[in-house]
Amino acid sequence: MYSLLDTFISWFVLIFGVGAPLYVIFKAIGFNGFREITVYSKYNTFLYRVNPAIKIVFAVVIMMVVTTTIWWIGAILTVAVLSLYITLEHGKRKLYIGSLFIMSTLVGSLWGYAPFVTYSTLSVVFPHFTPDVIWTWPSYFAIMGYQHVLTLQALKYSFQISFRSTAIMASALLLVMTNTPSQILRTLHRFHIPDPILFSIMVAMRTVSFVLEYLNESIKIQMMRGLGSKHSKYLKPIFFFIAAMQGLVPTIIHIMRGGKDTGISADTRGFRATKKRSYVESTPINRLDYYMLAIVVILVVMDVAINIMGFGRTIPYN
Amino acid sequence: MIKMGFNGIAGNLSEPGIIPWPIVAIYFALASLFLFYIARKNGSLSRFKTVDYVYVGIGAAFMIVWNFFVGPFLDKFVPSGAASFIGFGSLGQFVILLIVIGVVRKVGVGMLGWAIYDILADIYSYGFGGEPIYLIYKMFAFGIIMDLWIAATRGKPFGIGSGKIPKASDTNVGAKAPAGSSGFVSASGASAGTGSFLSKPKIIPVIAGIVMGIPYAIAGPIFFTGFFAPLLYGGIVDWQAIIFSMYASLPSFLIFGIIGSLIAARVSKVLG
Repeated sequence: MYSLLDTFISWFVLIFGVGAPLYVIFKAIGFNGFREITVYSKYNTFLYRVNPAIKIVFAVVIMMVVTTTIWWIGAILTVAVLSLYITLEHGKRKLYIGSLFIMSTLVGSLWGYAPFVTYSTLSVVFPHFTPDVIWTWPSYFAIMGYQHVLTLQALKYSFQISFRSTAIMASALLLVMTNTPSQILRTLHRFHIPDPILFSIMVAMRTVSFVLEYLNESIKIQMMRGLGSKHSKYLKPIFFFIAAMQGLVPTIIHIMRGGKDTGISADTRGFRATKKRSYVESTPINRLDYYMLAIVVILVVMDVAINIMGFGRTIPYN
Repeated sequence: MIKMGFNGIAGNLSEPGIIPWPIVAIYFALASLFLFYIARKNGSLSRFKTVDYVYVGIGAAFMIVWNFFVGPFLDKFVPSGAASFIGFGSLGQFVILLIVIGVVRKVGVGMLGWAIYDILADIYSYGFGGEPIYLIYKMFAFGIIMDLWIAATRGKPFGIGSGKIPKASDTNVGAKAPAGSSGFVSASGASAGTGSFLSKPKIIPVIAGIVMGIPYAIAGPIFFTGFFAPLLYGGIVDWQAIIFSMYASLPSFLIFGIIGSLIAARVSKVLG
């Protein structure tokens, strides 16, 4: 018979998996926090001086290593890349927000996968395995699509899938925080992407921080005007969400109206007027870039070594 | 052992159950040719202005914010068993892109929008792994659907706008709207118009939402799980799962397609 305590623990685990990431996102990070880890700020340490092209290569190599090795390599790399945040401007704050973001992504995706991994998937992942049962869910959890039991293998599998994205995410955010949009675009120009598309991407990169800022403002103003003030403060996250949804379309209209001016001002400066009117200068490569490149090469060598040692990824993703 | 090809692409074309690559290639080529043919024939092919690139960029920025900071956490509100029925991440992107095509209204904006979003998503989160396969996937599986609709409606995807060939009966549809009277649009679009719910200005967005929503729900599972996932990282092809997720995501795409199209119609009225 399923005891009351077991039921309690099951529900606690369920609510923790769903609630913890939400709490972290809305309460601890907020739209302002997101803005801080997605926008460039001027500073002068190693990472700010490295060529963005090398940082893109770095992110690609991180992706390669993480997808070809066992899950704990991904975990180590995630921590390593995150610790680089400390060298940035307001490093401690960025490390704090970045870690919260990665943690919430991790907990969220772990609980998004682990209870649902089917026996058949696991038997492809770990051939001839004997399931190590950690927890048995109440039978009515099946309504939510939960498997009857939570196995150690399901957790391992979900961990691997979760860490696949976190290391890459952390290193990609590093690029955005340490380079201006124009530096990144000058790098992308090397890949022969047409100028109008580069222009469009630049507008988009500038806009991301505006979107977060205006949405944040819109939510706060709606709260100030009394949205949800007559209800319990525990319902605040729900009203936060309602305010965000109500603010979305007006924010789109507001920013797009401003976009008209951006278009006109680019046109008056003769953007795309003649073939040679608009041009892009590439970013130079200096000594520091070779140091960074050395790290990249070390990562690749490490990847090969790990695979030879038998810690390669052998599981398929669903 | 999973082999590693160029830029993290496993290059696995012989997974059991995978759609043969010539079929995908031929579909993409034919769809593009067909798009070009209709656009050419009814004259809806027109050059992008600078402001159009700005609008697409703004739309892509919203898609990024949605997909990385809002969508994944909204999905947590959905009971996990219903997750295959509602995926807020992709639905939000769909609605935002509908608004963009409502404002730009030129053939190619759907594909351009997905392309810009894809490059931006690489900068912000994915780190250019698996490119350019993801770029091709998003442009040709999703973007082209919107472009075909724009071409079919001669540059008036939601019944509003000045297409290349203005017809006498169509011109007064956009003119009747109180252009930018308040600047505030209710999310449901319920305040638009004074006539019956399905008055003429509304019936076109509703049809647009249905026509674009159905292929969107179908294209994702078929092309990604059925072809690109095994190609990219050796994902398992399970046709039962593909067909299930097609049916499962259909209602939500229809509903959000219609809501999104109504919002898009309103936004494009406001922005003129």
